[in-house]
Amino acid sequence: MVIEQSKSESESECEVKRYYAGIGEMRVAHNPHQLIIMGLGSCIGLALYDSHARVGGIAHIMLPDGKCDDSNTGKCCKFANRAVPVLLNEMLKHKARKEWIVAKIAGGASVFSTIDMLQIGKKNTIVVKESLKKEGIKLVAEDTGGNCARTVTLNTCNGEFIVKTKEGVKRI
Amino acid sequence: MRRKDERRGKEMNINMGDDSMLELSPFLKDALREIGNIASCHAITALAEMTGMTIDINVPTVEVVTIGDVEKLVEVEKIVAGVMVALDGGFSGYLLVLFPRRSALRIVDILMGKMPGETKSIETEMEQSALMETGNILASSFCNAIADFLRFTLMPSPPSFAFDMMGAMVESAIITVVETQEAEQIILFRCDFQENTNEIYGYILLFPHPESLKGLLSTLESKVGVNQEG
Repeated sequence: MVIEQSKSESESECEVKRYYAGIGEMRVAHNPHQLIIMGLGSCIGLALYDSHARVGGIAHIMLPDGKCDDSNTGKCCKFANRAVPVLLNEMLKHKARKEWIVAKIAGGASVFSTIDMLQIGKKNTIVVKESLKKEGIKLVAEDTGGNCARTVTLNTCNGEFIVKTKEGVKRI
Repeated sequence: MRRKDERRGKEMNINMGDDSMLELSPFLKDALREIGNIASCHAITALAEMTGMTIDINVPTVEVVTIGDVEKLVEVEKIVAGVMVALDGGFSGYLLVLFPRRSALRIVDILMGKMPGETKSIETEMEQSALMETGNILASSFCNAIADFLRFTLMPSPPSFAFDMMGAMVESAIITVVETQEAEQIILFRCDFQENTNEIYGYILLFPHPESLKGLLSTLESKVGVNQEG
């Protein structure tokens, strides 16, 4: 897990950087950088955004639930039942405030529909939503389910969540 | 629970160290690569016979990969036609056969006796079915070769087809392999192949369940009578 720090506000003219989260990883960044997860299938791209502090965080969630020994490391964010508090905690360290944070999620598709007996995408979506509810974070937008793979981008300057599929681009 | 896994891991020479790093012994790695090589050659020969093409195959690789890094090894956003098959029997795992978009269209051209470039999309059931069958034949030959060589059964499930981002397909395979064991790493066998006249490229990816390789290893030892050396 890497926490990316942007330069101070006075240098906001600086180049927009793109940070990528691999499977089971999370990233936190300040305005004006972008956070990206590529190729989401049944995984969930969870985005949390604080519009006042302009801090965003994304987590690439892989499985519905799992045991995770040390909750301090970012490794736990691969599990849907642990990711929300872990990512939230990391964002609070970066001047975000819980009452301002909203959530957007995408993913949870079923790419190989006939072989997907376990319905992991659906389970992931349900568990993430429950977890958000438990933490008291409002889910403002979602694009989940279906059979399409997605690439998501969180713009930390305005909280825009861009979902790209092979069919086109959606902004939610 | 974890300790038990560790012990089991050592028995079969896949060591789960202190930091739960998955490690393959050189013997098992070579064995996997060789078996994969034989199986891939059979699979690709079947494809070559079916299409009448001459196909070159690259030297396969076997790697232990950290899950978060897998996406660096494949072109995540590339649109590919993929066929996934679950394997069960002598060992278990998932086999993915991938063709990049253009190569997939060319294969459909060849199989349906069309002019090169005539197939423009993979929207209808006909094209999907042709590609699914191609993947199925590759996967079945792959399994047959392993089963013949090691004298055990390896059954492929009915194939599942998708036409989407490569990353999402690899991700699906990883999830199903990891689902039961909460591992940080996976074993990835990869074999690339290409046909030069029509510029067709393809990839065979195999994600074995690490736990299931124990049976494979003992079969291999009894067959070749090799005392493994570490």
